[in-house]
Amino acid sequence: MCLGVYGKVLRVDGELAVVDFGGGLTKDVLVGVEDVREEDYVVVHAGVIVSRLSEKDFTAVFDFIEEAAKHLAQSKSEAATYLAQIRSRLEENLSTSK
Amino acid sequence: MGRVSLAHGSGGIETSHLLERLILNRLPDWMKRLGDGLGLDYPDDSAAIPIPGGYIVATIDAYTVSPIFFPGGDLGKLSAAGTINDLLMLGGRPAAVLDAIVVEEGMDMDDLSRIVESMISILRMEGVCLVGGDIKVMPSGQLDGILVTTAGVGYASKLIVDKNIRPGDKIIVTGPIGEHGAAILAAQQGIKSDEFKSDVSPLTRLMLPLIEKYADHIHAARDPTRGGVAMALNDWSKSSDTMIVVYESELPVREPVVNLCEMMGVDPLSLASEGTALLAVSPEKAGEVLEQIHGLGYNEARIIGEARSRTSSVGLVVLKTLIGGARILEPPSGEIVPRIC
Amino acid sequence: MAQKGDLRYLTKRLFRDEILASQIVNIVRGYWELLRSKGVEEVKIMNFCGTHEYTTTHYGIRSILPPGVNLVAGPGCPVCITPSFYVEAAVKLALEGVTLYTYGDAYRLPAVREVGGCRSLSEARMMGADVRVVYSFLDAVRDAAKHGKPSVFLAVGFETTCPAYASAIANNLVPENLTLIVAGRLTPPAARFSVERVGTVSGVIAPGHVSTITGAGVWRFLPEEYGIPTVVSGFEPLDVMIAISLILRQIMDGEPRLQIEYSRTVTMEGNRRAKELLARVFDVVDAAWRGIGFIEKSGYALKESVSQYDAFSRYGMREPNRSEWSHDLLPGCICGQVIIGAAKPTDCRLFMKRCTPGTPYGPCMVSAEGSCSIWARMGGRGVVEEVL
Repeated sequence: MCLGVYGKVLRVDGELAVVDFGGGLTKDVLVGVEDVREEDYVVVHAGVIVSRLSEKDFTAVFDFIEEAAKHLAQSKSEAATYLAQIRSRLEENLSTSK
Repeated sequence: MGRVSLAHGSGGIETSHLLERLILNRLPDWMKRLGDGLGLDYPDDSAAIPIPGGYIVATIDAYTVSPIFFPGGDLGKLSAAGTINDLLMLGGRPAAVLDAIVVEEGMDMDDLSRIVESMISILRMEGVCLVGGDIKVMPSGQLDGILVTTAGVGYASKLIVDKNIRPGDKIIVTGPIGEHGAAILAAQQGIKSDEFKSDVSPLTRLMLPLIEKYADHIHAARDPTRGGVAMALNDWSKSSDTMIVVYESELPVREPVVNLCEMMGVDPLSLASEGTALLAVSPEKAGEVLEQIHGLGYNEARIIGEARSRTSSVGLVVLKTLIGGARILEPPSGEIVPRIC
Repeated sequence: MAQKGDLRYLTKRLFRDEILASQIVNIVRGYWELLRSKGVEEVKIMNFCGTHEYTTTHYGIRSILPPGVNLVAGPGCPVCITPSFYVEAAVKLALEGVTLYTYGDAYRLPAVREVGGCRSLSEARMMGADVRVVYSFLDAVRDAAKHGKPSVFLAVGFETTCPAYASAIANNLVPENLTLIVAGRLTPPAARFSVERVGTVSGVIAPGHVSTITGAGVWRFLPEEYGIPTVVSGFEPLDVMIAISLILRQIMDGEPRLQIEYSRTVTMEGNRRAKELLARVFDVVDAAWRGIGFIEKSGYALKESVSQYDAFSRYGMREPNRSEWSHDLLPGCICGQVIIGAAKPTDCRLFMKRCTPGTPYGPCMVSAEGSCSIWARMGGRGVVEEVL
C-alpha cells in the first residue's frame, strides 16, 4: 500500500505545512519528519509528510544500470555503446529542467 | 436483489448492468426502436427516428452534481451543454430542448435563478429553443438540492453511429481529458486551486463544421462524460467488433490533472469530460480532420490511438504504456473516491 | 551532473523514460539468460505493497518481462487484510448515527457478516448513514471539529499511514467528538509469515514508503535469516524494473543481501520522528489479519494513556481476542492463501465465477490492488502482448 506523492514545501507552521504538488495544486498536510523547511522536496502520504527527497541520491541507482550494462555486454565496444546510450538519455532528462 | 448503490449511477459497468436488467430485458424488440432508426437496442448518445430525408434525433438526461456550482460552470450549464452535445455526437443539429426541474424545498431562490439563467444563456448562445418544461418542489430532506432533466431534439441527415468503427480508424480526442471530473473531485476534496476548471461547454462550433464536411469519414463520435475516455472506448470496442489501442504517451492530460490524479489515486482516463469529444476517423482523412479541428480552435486535439481487427472474442481496449508495456484499459467501476494505497 | 531542476518533475521524466526502460529490460533479460544457463527455471519475486502491484499492472511491467520471471503479490494491501470485525463495527456505528470517516479504499471493503442489512460502509451510506470518504486523517479531524457530532475514523493502514493518527493525537489536534477504530498493521511480521509459508520466494521487493518510516533496516532478516535477496524499491515503473534486475543480479552472484533502490528517500534508519510518535501513541500487539489469523506483534493498539481516542471504549465495544477470533473469510474463498502468495487466484474455484470485479466476493477482488482483481483484469495477457 501507501501511495506517496512528491511535493515541495511552501510554508511550515508548527505541525502543519503547505505543500505544492505541482501546477498550483497545494494542500495542507501534517509534518511527519524532523526539520522540514521551505523549498524542501518531500514525500506525502495520506496527508502527512513521511520523508524528504534527497537530490544527492537521486540518480545513484542508475550507477547500477551502467555497471550492469558493462557486466552483461559481450564485448568492450558493445558495452561502450550501451553506456553511451544510457548516459545521453540520463543527461537529456537531467538537463531539461523545469 | 440487493440495493441501488451510487456505483449504479456512476456511468461505469454497474450502470450498464443495471440498465440491462432493469429496462432492456423487459422490452420486446419492436419497442426498442422506431423503424430503421436507433433506439435502446443500440444505446448510443441519442436516439434517432427516421423521417423522409433524414432523422429526428432525441436525447434525455437527468443531471445532478455536487457541488452545484463548481469552477468553470454549474448544474444549469452542464444540463444544457450535455444535451446539446449528445445530439451532436449522433450527427444531429440541435434544435430544441425541454426541461424538468425538481428542486428541494428551502433552496436559495438566487441559486435557483442562477442555475436556470445559466442553462438558458447556453441555449440562447447556441440558438436552441426551450419549448417546454416542468418544475416540481420536493419536501426538504427528500432531495439533495436540485435535479435538472433536459430532453433535446435535433435533426440529422446522416447518423454517426459508434458501431461503424472499422479497423484502421484513428482515434482523435479534441482536448485535454478528465477536466470536468478533476474540477469536481478537487471541489469535493476541498482543494482550492485556480488550476481546476470544468471544460463544460457545448461542442456545436466544433461538430457542426465537421459533420458538414466529413460525415462519411467520421465513423464514431462520443463525448466521454461519466466513466471518461476509458468507458467510451470500451463501449466502442464492444459495439464495433474492433480492438482499440491507445498510446499513453499521446494522451493529452494537463499536468495539474495528472498531479491531482496521482495524489488521489484515480485514473484520469476514468474522469469525465463535458466539453471534449472522441472521434473515430478513417485513416485517409484523419490528418485532414485533425487539422480542421485545430483550425476550429481546439489546438490540443491529438490522435491518441487506433482501432484494429479484433483477435479475441470480447471487445478490449489495450493501453500501450509509457515504458513500452501494455495493459488492458478497463471500463471504470464503482464510485470515484480517493485512495491511499 | 547537469542541472537537476525540480525533483517532482524529474522523477516523472527520469523514472518513466521509455528508452531507459528498454535498457533495463535488456539487463533483466541478460541476467535471466545467465540464470537459465545455470539451470534456473523460474524466479518468484514477491512484493509487499499494493502500490508496487499497482505500478506493475498500470505500466504493464509483466508484459515486458521474460516468462520465467514471475512477480507475485504478498500481503501488501491493507484493504485485503483488514479483519471483517472492524468493518462490521464501523458499519454498526454508522447505522447508529455516528459520522464515519475513512479512505476510499476501506469504503467498499465488505464484511463477512451483514450488519443491519449492510456488508460495507458504502452500503451503509446507501441506507442513509453519514459515511464520509476523505483523503487524509487531517481532513476528517477538521471536518469533525466543525460539526461536533459523534464521529469515528476507521483507521486502517501500515507503518506509512499510522504516523498521521499518532501525530494528530500526540499534538492534541483530535477533537473530543472524534475517536478511532485502530486497525493499523506492521508489514515485516507479515512478510516473515508469508516467506515462511510460501517457501519458494526467490526475491523480495520491499515497500519503499513503509521503509521511509521504519528504515530499510527492518528488512535485514530476509537475506540474513532466509537467504532472500531483498531490494527496497520506489514506485515509478523504472524503480520496480531496476529492483527486479538488482534481485536477479543477487541471485546470480549467490549473495543475498539488502539493497536500497529507493535511495532518493529511504535510509537504513528511517524517520526518527515518526517512529517516536508511533511509540508514544501505540503499543505493538499480536493482531489478526483477514484470512490469515493472528500474527505476533503485527498490530498497533492505542496506549492506555490515550485511550480516550479509542472508539471501542467510547461506544462500549471490544475487540475479539485470539481465542474469540473466528476465521473471517467467506465460505469457499481462498483469499487467505492468495494474500500470502501461496495460491494463485486461478486456484480458487470461485474465481471469475461467483467472484468477479463487478460482483466481488472475497477481499482480494474488492480492492483494485488485490491480486484477484488484478488477475481478473489482466486475463487477456496474450492479447496485450500482440500489441507490443
